[in-house]
Amino acid sequence: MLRIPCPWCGERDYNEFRYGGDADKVRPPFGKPAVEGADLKAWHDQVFVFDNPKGPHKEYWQHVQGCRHWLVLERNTATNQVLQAWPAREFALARVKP
Amino acid sequence: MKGFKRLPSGGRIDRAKAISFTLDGKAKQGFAGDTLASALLAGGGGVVGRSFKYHRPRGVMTAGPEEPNALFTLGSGATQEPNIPGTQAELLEGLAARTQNGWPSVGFDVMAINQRFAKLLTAGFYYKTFMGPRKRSWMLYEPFIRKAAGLGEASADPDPARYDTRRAFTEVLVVGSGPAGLAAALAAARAGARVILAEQDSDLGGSLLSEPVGSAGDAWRATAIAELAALPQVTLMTRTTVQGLYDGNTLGLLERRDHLSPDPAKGQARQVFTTLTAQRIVFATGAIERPLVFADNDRPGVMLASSALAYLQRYAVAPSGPALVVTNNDSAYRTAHAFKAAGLQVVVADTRATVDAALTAGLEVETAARLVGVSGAHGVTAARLARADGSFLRALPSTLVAVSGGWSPAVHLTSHTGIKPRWDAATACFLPGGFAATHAACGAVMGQFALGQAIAAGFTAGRDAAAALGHAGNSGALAAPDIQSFGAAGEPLWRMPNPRHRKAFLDFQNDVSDKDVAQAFDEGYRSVEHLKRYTTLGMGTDQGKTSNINALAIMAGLRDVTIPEAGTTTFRPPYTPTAIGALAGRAVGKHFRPIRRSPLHQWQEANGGVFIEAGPWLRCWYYTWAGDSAASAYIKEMELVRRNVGVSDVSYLGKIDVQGPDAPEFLNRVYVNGFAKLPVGKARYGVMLNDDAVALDDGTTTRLSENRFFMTTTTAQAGEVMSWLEFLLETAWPELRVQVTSITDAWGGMAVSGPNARKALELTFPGRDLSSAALPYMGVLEFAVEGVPIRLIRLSFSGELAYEVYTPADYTQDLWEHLLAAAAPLGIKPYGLEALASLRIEKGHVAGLDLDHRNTLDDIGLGKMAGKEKDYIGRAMRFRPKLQAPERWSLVGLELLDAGQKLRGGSILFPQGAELKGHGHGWITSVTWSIELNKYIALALYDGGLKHAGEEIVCAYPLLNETVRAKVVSPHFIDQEGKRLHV
Amino acid sequence: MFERRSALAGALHAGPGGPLTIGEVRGWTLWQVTAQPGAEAAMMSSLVAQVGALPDKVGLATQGNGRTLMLVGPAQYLLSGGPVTVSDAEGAVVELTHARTRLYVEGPDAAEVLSRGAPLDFHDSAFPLGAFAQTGIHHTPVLIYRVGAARYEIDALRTFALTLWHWLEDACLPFGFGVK
Repeated sequence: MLRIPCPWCGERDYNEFRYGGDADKVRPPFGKPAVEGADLKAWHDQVFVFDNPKGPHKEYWQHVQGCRHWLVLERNTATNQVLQAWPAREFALARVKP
Repeated sequence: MKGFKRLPSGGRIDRAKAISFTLDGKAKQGFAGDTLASALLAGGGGVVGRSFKYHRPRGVMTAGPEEPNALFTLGSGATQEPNIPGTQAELLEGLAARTQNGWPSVGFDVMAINQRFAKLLTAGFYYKTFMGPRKRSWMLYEPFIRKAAGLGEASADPDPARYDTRRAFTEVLVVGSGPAGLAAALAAARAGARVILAEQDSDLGGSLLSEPVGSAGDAWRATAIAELAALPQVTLMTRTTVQGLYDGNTLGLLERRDHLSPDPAKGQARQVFTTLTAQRIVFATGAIERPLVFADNDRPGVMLASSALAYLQRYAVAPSGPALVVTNNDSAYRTAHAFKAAGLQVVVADTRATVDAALTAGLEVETAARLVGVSGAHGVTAARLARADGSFLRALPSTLVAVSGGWSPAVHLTSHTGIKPRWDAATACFLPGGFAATHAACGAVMGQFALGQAIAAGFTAGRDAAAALGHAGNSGALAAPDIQSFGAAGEPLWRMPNPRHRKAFLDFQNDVSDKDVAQAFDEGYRSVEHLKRYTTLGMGTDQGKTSNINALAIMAGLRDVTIPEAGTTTFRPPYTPTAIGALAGRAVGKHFRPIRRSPLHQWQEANGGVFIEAGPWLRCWYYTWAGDSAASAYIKEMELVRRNVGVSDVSYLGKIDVQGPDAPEFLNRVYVNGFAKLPVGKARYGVMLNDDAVALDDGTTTRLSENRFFMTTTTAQAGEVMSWLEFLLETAWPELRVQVTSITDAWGGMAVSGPNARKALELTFPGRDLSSAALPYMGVLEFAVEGVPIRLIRLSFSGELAYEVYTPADYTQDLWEHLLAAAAPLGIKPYGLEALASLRIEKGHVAGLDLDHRNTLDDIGLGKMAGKEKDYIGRAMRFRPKLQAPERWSLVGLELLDAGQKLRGGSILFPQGAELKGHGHGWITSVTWSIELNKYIALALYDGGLKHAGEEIVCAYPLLNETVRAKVVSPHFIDQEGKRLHV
Repeated sequence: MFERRSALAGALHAGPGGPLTIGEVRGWTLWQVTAQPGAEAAMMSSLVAQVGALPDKVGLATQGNGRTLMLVGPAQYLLSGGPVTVSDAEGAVVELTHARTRLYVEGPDAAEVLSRGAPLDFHDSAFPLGAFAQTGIHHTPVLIYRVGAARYEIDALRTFALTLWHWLEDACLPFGFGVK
């Protein structure tokens, strides 16, 4: 039973959560519509191309049977060891900072 | 002569309590405290089963869960449970046991003829014989093989017993209650830790249960247990197998409660599965004795030495004739001395040349001896000993041959998370290969076989575990009992000489002999993993607990490598077989999954509503006022809506409160169409895409005030949409000042639809101006009646004049009843899901069936909705060339051309004249009978879409081998101009 | 014309009897109040003015000014007992009174009953009097609140309330229960 440390509710069983994808990826910027070239390539990679790392990996989880907040969980994919967790919003804000 | 008998006194059985049971229908007796195995031995022992492949007669070999031979089917009919080791089945009044794998009986088994064909049935037999060369060989032979080579059979009927699951937490878990485990639990608990002590046996004490009742060892055990039982922070769990260790220090504990005669009607579970998270784990799982590999070592009457001791001390069961103890290590002397003390005739044959005199004192011992054979197919009668060089030593009459080939520590749990055991040459054992920081082990599992050593190690492990959790209480000290300790020092001897080439078994349950290992070696299956799969070694219900080490030692010898070089197979949960029912617990029948009900459910139930499962929801399918079946009722309900007015429950829709200064911007981003400029008091239909441009959901969102919106989603996608919006706000756009909250449960809703809808609402809310001027199409009115908020939105799913009326859930039924009563003069009636869905098909509105996670905005014909000057989720990917290709499928309507036939959902579409082959050119997503067109119509996705309008196509339904003709038309079958919406 | 109707109307039948008591708690109200990003401090001071001190720890409810307050997330509160007003710029207020049905279980084995469904440690050291947690029972989200030494309230989603009631009755069966 993977135990996930929700930044708000504390450590809980993983089945209170839903998985939400790779958090090492950065979504292409939202804004002016552009449909060709780099934009399409960036979205193609976002939607279809995934790394499959062995070792520490960040991923999104949502505490759906809890506070409903999203979090970023760092987990070792080789050992399933949970390393760290951040509130997703704080993680996102820290990432957009220069 | 019978091999075993019950002694007139002694043991831990309760002789005052006789227990009646049956074996293969024959009445038998035992005592409370017996296992099925001990009771059968007390009655004489002998053959209790037939082996898997060769159908050789087999007897009880062990006294624990490692038992490979004495497997029974317990119960019958719905409660029938196969492959239960008799050594683990407590003897209960009325127990009905059946032997397995023998026909007509285990005593005389016609399949024993297989022994004659043993040469054909060796390793790899299945692969060689039945897998080829003919491609379908296995299909042909498999049923026969299964029948001949099966163990017990499970019941096909539902199990009437109750099972339960629970979640638990503790600071310290101690697995195993032998001397080391008891010491660990005491030390941890005395220090102040919350402790769970789990023991698979019915009684605590482990090897101490094999000390005579009332002896010093027994007294030590009783004192320790009494102290633990008195501590409030300690939970003692007997009959509880820790069957697996999983991530997060979480373990599975299976507790058996058959001894309480659980009554399912009273909610009493026969097994309880506990998912336990422990901060610290102390493994005191002990060790399993290894058999010796010698000719005919599977004969009834050959038993593990420690098991023979357990039968004597615990169950007062002893051999009825002389006993021979054969060992390569010190531990079996405990058995020999106990036999002697009990007045039994015993000889020890030790494979070692020299043995400590302290062990042998008072015993008749043959050193440097080899066991080369036993006589007696249905029960041992004699044994033959040889010298190391193979020369004859002596023959002994024996009704019991108690063997010890050394010990295999029960390292299973310690390696469930992936830590491989390591070979320890000093003890000739695989020991735990390492530990997580929160784990420790003590006692025999660590190769600490001497009693004092085990107790000291256990005490330290328990104290350390508590200390690591901050419990500084004084654990005091714990002295070991003053009894002789034997340890298990020895010299491995993996095979006895076998001059006559008789069968010498490794895996008794799967009939794998040393020859099979040699054959696997010869044929190149030399890695332990290949060996296992090729020979089926260790693949039985006992998972090779007694066989693995002997087999891999022999393989290591053949390969001329060391045992650690040969390696060991991977241990995986469960430690012992775990019934699926125990894992499912109470989630069966009515409690299989949760059911979601609308606030109108009770009314519908009482007023002719018939329900259908839709995801977790029970939705009202149709009402009996309109007919006795959905097929007839929905037509009448449709007619009601098209010609008059009906009301339908729409509480099932997902409802989301969207609030904040940036809410318009947020909605503008998630919907393909514009929401930033939606005026207050207006509703708008919107479509959301996923990042990959596939349509996620559609629905109507209403602007209630400057910064507040009321969003509705489809029923099926409500949860997905909610999580998606939350995801975007917390990960993609954390700067947006928006909060989203699910209010699906807070509000009930009803759709009032039909030409008379306005009149119905005017009757419901007298005095309120509901004219088109006051409430235009896509307008909203919010007001209160008797203080109860009402939200009235004019929008239509059916294509008729229609309104959705929302009110807080606790008031929804009252509003519904009031509306039905007030509008009764018009003839208003409720309509259900089937009519609702059919009306929308006539109108050409897409729904869940059409939005099947493969279709884009353009596929469903709504490409024009999308904003051109703004970005929205899915925009970039929407313009992928293949998605925009003219030949890509898109939404069309179909009209049936063959009167008297039907259109069917899921039909595959082909152009006229095309070969009916492959995936076709499209498929039907939704079908209904159209009351306006008086024919079957459908929505479909068709390659090229409306380019083919007017063409005749073929709809194939291969399941019924049926084809019908249809015409491609606009998906909007009625009122294409939308006049009815604006009246 | 309007009376509040429980999702459990007609479902509460007398149990077989025994040490446990289960039932529905009625007549309460519930709001969720959440600060908008960047307006956390402003909203919290506005709340303090209306309800007094705010809880600063997720998992332990506080009482004040006739209200029960639970911190459930970042500047996010559940409020029972009466509404509050905060400006649109500060935060969002959503009434959830009708969205939940409140069950309770009381008696010596109440925590054991809950552990048959909820993956929480109910030991006194982990879940003392006044503790609450949002978790799941039988695949549906719930909020469990320890209101007495041996009494727990369970806020279930209204649409799942009847299913959870059936679950609770069944979970209590081996211990014996009455319905009040």
